[in-house]
Amino acid sequence: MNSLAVADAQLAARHRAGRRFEVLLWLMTAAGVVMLVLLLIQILTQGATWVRGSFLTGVASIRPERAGFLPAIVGSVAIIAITGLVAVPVGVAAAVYLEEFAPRNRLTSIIETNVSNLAGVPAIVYGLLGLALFVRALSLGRSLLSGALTLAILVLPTIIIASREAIRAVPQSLRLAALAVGATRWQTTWHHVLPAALPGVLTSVILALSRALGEAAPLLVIGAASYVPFLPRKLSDSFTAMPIQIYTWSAMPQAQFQNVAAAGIIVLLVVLLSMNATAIIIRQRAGSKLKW
Amino acid sequence: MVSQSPSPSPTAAPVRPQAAPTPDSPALSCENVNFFYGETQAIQNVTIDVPRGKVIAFIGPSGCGKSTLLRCFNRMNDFIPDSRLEGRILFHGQDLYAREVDPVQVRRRIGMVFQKPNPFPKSIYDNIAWGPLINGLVPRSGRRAWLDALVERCLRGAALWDEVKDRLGESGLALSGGQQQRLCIARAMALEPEIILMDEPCSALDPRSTQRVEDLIDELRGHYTIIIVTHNMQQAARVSDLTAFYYLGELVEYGPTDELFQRPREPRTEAYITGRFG
Amino acid sequence: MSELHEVGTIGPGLRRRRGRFLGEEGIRLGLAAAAGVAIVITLGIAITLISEALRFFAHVGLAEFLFGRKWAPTFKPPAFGVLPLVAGTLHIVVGSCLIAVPLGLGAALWLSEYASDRGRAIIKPTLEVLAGIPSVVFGYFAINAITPLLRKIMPGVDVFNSLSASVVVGVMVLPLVASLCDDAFRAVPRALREGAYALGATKREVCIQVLIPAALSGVLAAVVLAVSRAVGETMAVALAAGNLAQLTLDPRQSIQTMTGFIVQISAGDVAHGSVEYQTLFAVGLLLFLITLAMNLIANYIFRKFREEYE
Repeated sequence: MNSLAVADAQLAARHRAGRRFEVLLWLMTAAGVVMLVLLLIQILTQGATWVRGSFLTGVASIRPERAGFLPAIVGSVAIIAITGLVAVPVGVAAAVYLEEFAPRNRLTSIIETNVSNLAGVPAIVYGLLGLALFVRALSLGRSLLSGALTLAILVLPTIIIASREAIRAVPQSLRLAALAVGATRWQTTWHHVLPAALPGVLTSVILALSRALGEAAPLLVIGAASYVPFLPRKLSDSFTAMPIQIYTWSAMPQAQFQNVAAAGIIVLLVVLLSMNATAIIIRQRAGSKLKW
Repeated sequence: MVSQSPSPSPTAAPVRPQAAPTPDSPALSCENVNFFYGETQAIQNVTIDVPRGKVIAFIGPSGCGKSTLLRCFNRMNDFIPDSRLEGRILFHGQDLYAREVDPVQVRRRIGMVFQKPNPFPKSIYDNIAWGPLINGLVPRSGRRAWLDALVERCLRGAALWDEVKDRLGESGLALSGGQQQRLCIARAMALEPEIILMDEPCSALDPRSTQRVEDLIDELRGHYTIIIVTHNMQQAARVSDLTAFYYLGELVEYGPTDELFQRPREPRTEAYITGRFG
Repeated sequence: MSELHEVGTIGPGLRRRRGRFLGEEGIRLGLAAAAGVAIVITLGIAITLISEALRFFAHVGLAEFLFGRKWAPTFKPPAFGVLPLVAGTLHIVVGSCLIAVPLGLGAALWLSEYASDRGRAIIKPTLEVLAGIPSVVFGYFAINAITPLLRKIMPGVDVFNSLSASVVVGVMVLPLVASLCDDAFRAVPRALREGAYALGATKREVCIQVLIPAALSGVLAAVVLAVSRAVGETMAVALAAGNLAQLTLDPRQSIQTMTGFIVQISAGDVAHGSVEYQTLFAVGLLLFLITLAMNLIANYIFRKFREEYE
């Protein structure tokens, strides 16, 4: 009478295949995690002892043990600050327009298609645009400003897309409530929608800027210098950045420079991780305060 | 989703060794069944016998546990994390929730038709052939002829054959809602289950399609034991031999459909069928 | 509009107030201009690439560029056949997709069908971290870990080789594939899974025979996007694959991709107006067109996929 429990051979084989399949999928999932762990181990074992005071405060050198990261750190911070100053207002404004103001017409849909296609353009192509536009046509030269403007264009689509999502998540009832007491579209947006969307917008901005911080290709193309023995002081100075310096060291034939590269990566990853952690904290704080 | 468990013992034995059931032994019986979603109790101490070859309707206001109970009968609730069943549900004297029972075996023997038609995005033919194929029921020689015959038999059984016989290769999704639901019934019949569970099978259909599905249920009476959950009292009155009324997770009243609708014994049943709540 | 109006004066009170209306209109225009920047950027990219590329094609025939089998723009005499760069890019695309597609698909199935909430909560962010690691870091990893390992276990592997670069690009693209496929599987209605389970299918059968076919277009779009990403991938390839533009099938050898070439030329100081400078834009234009085509195809497939289930 135990007919539901007695498995026939065919069913038993299917269950065995099912278990093998589950193990296989688990291994495939674990592969990515394992790679991440191996990557971190490699970096830490090679670079941890090279992250020291003289490395953090020194400037470029042809001797690995005297190579310093400070110009790259300062360069990256300056570039990201300018990139943010340029890209965030424009990006958020564009997102507000597309979500709150844009009529449903052909022009709007062209803009939307444009934004999503721009997000898929390889970073290095933005470098070519920066080279032709900022370095040559606007005669800004191979400067900090050229680099920052290039990265601003690069992150703009990402900021627009992510900010739109944050704005869209604001419930419609809030807009209707504001409009119903006689607010204009802009008053509704400025006083109600944007404050409510702010955590989401901030999160997306931080994530976009952290992406830009790790980008080397466009900066290489516009001509970031690989050997900068001084700190940038003006917007027109030549510059280097953390990923550029890491690339330069990694491409050096002397084995010791690989250790310096690893040390640079540790600094870069620490900065990136703290930015991402900030974004996560903002997201969680907002999640616990505002519940729709 | 939780992983499928428990796994069956791998002993090889004939597929269906049970003794021939006596005609009056119930197709399914629940003994003191309780069901919980986490802390919430959805079903309270239900005991019910489902007789063989009849159409049984489960009615009650939404949230009364009728669909949950139905899904216990083929262990579809296994996929809900944090859910738990107490009591026994007996099928051929075997508790469906005993440790050694394989849910795959249960679902082969107890078919189900869902609230919204859910044909696979495959051809009409493959929709029906898939169940027997994965379950290894197709004989090694003459597969094609066997399957052809099966597909025709099931589609005829589900009163769909004449409408689709010339386009068996088309996607099941190309059919109308009512046709899709009859395809899903045909798909369930292909495994020759003893019981077919129907979870509000007409709630997504227009009146004409509903009529056809109800006619189909009438034709299947006697060949299968059918348990149908419905929020539509007229439907229960039209198609079922027996009706069970549930309220807040409890089985309030169970009896022949005519009696239950004409002379309800319980005041709550009377209140519901006269439309005072629901 | 603080005071109450007489019945007869309500009409004029409803008229648009001019000052407020103009301010509102000004803001609207300002915001629209910001959105218009997207179009300006696209035009900027198109115009720069095309105008410089046109100057390049004044020197070099289009057929020579597209079908020439030798790429040596800085040699004397120079050769401008882009096929070796395209072949190098294909090395990376094929190699990385051989890694990223199966692993990403497997991870997505595990995440959407097998993982507990806890498992998801651990694996998803981990994959996001992996996706957030800069390309140049993967280049370093390829040089210092993957290449030495390959040279140990495989004979004839060059110091710079396309295999090592493909492996790390595969790892970089994997989170993208996993996340998009996961979305695709989760978009498949639960009813379809239940229908399959109710017929006595095991979870493996549901995955392989129901979910993958049902989500196929979503999976396909993910693969196309992965290809597009691999085509545009730069730093890891520039570091690990070398700078040898050659037509070869052997992944143990050094190659050069389109992106790798752009980096190599940019690193040297090229004179504005020189042919080398213009080759950057010709190759860049090709790169842009290929990735644009891939992205448009992926978007098209995604749209089809959404229509299926909405």
